[in-house]
Amino acid sequence: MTSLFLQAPPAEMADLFRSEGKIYVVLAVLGILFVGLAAYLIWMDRRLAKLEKQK
Amino acid sequence: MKAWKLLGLALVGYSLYAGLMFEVPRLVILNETIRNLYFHVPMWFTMIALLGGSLAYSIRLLRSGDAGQALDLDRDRQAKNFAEVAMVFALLGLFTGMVWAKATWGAYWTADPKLNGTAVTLLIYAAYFVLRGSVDDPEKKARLGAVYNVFAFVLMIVFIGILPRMTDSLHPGNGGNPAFGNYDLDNGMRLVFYPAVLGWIFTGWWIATLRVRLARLNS
Repeated sequence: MTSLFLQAPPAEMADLFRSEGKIYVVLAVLGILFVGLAAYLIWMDRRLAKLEKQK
Repeated sequence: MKAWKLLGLALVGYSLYAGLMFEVPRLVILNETIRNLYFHVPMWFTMIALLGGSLAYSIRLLRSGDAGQALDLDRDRQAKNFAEVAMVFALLGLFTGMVWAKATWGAYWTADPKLNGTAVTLLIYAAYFVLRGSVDDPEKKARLGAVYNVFAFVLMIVFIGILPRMTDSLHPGNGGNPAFGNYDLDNGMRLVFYPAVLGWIFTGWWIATLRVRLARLNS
């Protein structure tokens, strides 16, 4: 039983992908999306606050 | 702007970075998709939190009518908008789960009690919106909607929290499958998962309050 487990191949992970450093491209894309959506939320909040003041 | 809103954003931003870059356990079949835990599961936590908020507003609406006082119709507006944003998060949870299921179970959809339970939950809340929309009198609309919303919340808990645990299920956390019990012993994942859940709940709550404020301005 133990030897069977020892012979099992290790789980595939994105090691090569990471070693090439390209993961940062994905991070940059996610970063742009996140900053964009966060800015949109903050903008909407401020705009609503302004309108609420006028009312 | 209140601090919890920015804290929510910061936590989500942190989880995007940490969720991709931090070490995760090496497990066959799951492989790197284990990272979906940081993104798929918080959608459901956020849905439940928002539905809990919606339920609280509905109860407060019903209580506001006590002692012959006029109903506080703003509570109805809050309950409806929180439930609406909750359904957006439910759809996001459903679609992200389908992508994950395809990669690990081999199919986008299976007749699994957890999956069917979430689909039924969506229908239950769709009925809430239809019910509210079908009554013209604002007081009657608010009261009927609130009573139904209490009922809907209980059904949601039954369909996604109880029934899936009583039968076999592919989905973790059900039918004797540990939730992410296999992996949550890994403290590194906790360090990303809990902040992600908190961050998304805050962000979802914020979006719901924005919609409430917009609805108030439009009324």
